[in-house]
Amino acid sequence: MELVRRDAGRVAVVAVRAPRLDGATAPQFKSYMVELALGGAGRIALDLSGVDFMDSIGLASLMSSVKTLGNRGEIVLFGLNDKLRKLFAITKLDRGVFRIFPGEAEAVAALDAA
Amino acid sequence: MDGRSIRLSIDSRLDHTALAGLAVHGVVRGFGLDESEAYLLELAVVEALTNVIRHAYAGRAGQPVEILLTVGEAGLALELRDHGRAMDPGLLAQAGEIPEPRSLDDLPEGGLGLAIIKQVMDEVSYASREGVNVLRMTKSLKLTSPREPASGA
Repeated sequence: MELVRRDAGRVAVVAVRAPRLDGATAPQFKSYMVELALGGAGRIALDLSGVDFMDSIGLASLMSSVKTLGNRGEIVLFGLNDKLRKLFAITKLDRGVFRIFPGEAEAVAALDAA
Repeated sequence: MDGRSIRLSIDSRLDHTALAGLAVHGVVRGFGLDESEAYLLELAVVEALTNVIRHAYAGRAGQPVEILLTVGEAGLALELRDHGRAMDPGLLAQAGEIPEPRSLDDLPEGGLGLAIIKQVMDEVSYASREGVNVLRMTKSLKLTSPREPASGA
């Protein structure tokens, strides 16, 4: 798994380059995100276009990142394929917990306005 | 369920669940399911395996988990077998509709797996007898026969 950070103004754009965010890769993702949040990044846009499969362990690693960040910022998501969108819909995490955008421009603009 | 079956077995490690998930995905794609339907079945298998590894085997590697996939005209059945600690059947009965989280504190820490399985599959049952735990999941689906390889050279 490769995690690539690029800053767009005040927003940290993090590309998740792993075909699967699951039990095998979630621990590495989680520690990266926790470090990022504790390091002061508050506005985080996650690019999930490189992720083909995600399960509840992947979701749990995202949720624990949100919890670490607490009220000091927000994690928004973009680039989800239809399968990931379905997973967020089934678990209702697309209603209020995560704002999901089609692309980076929309995600960054939303965080800039926050 | 009448039909054709394939038996798979993986070691009880979270980084091995993808093997079984991908195998199921590949089989059901071959039987005409689209990518989205195949994903949901792959997800159900991976979630069920994750539960076995984490709870029945308490994260211990080196234990077998068996998956029996049966495809028939009416749909498909998935059966998982393990020899670990039995699950409290009440957990399966309680899992269901996932509540809409209203705040950060509402976020579930775990237990999403069973709820996902129940949403994805039509019927889910669990039995533990003489040290063998069996989780059985079925789904009605319109399956088509796999395309035969082209004949000739």
